[in-house]
Amino acid sequence: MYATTQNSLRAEAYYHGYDFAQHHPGGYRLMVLDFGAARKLGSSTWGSIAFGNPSTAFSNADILSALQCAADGVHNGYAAGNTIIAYGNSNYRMSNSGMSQSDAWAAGYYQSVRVKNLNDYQRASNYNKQGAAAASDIEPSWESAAMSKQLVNGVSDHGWALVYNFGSADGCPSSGSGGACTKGWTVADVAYVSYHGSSVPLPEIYYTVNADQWTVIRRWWNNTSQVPFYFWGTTSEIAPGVLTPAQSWNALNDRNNSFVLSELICFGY
Amino acid sequence: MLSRSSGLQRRSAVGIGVAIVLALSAGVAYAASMSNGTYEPKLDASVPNEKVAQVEHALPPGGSESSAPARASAQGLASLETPVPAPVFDRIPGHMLSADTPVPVSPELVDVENGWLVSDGKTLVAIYAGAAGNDSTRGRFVIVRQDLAAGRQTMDVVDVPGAGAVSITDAPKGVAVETTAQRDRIRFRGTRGPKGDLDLVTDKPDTQ
Repeated sequence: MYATTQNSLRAEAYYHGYDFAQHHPGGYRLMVLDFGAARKLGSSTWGSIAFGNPSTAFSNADILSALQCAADGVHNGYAAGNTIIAYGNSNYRMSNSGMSQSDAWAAGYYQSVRVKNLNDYQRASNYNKQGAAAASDIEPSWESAAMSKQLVNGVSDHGWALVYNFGSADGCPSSGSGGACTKGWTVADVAYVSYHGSSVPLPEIYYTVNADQWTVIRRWWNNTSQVPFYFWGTTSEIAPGVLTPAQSWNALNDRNNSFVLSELICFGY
Repeated sequence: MLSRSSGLQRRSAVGIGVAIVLALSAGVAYAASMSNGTYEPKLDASVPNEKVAQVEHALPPGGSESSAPARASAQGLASLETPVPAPVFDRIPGHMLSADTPVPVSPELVDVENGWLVSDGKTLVAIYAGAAGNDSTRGRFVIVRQDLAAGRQTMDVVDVPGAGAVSITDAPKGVAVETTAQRDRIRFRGTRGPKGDLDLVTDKPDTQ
């Protein structure tokens, strides 16, 4: 979201939701509204800073209002199918902003609270074709593993929201079953933020090597857990120079046959 | 064990601010047998037991959709009431992005050096300049465009092979260029030496 005022944030959310609904092809689809980097905004206030300029902080109350507008937009534009609306954020430079690990945990915890609030709104409005979830763009290059794990732990400890990790396995090995990734992360860390607790993976697959890296993540998890690791789908782009969404899904599925569920996430059309 | 039985069907509407997950076509089916898992019929898939409640929370309850317009049906939550917003969006003068502005694009796609943003309240253009995530010798621009009232977003990726990481060195700035800058040219320089322009009409780089 690029808004710099609350009114514009709400309008962006509404019209994205309306357009999404108008083009809904049927079935179950997820719409992630990415509100930017998770942040502590006050002594007991959390939210995110958006992508606009000047970069603007929005509290969770602002974000909930926007999410409700998105729900209204999906409802008013309803054509077919079911839509899961997700409150998205990222681990972008949380510690640089002064956040502690407990702050990161709280950011995730209250993200899940607001997802439940959105669900309450949907139910009270009889938006019966809508659900609610959380999503995080967890990028190893952007923040330490310890901080990023706390963001996901917060969501899991609240226990209400499913949280999709639509981030990367940046710098992770492309073969084997473990090892180091970028910025001090390990394969185990990426697996944790992708499948521990309430999290599920929608890995970014832009190149075939990304599919190899995520296969290592799955292999590590399966070697250390009784619960098999499933990809919920893939994240990709519609852009020159990278795999198409279908190619990204196929690349991951080719390496993890029967362990890739049926979702694709994209950032342009 | 899950099994895939047909190909993908992708939707053509996606965005960064709005990242949209697309399900596969109805022909995709998964068997129900996952150890430590529970079959979820709405997904036609099994999910780990520890995530069952969260998955059920995410999925719509079903039943018919309310036929009332959004605001009429939401009166029961007065404290959360949010009027349907007018299609009025922020104007953003042309600016280089500050270092603390979050980036919506993965470092796997572009390792960002700097960025630029402008919006006239109708359409928005954001440019992220740097190097391809898989090849540091390849300069790369990721250009995000939004039609705000339509709720739509597009993305383009423009490469400058051999340039190294590219940085924007000059771009239109200020209020007066909120519309014109979206079809202007921006200057850039690569760490390997080349300089050039990026034409925002054609999304083509012109190196010197």
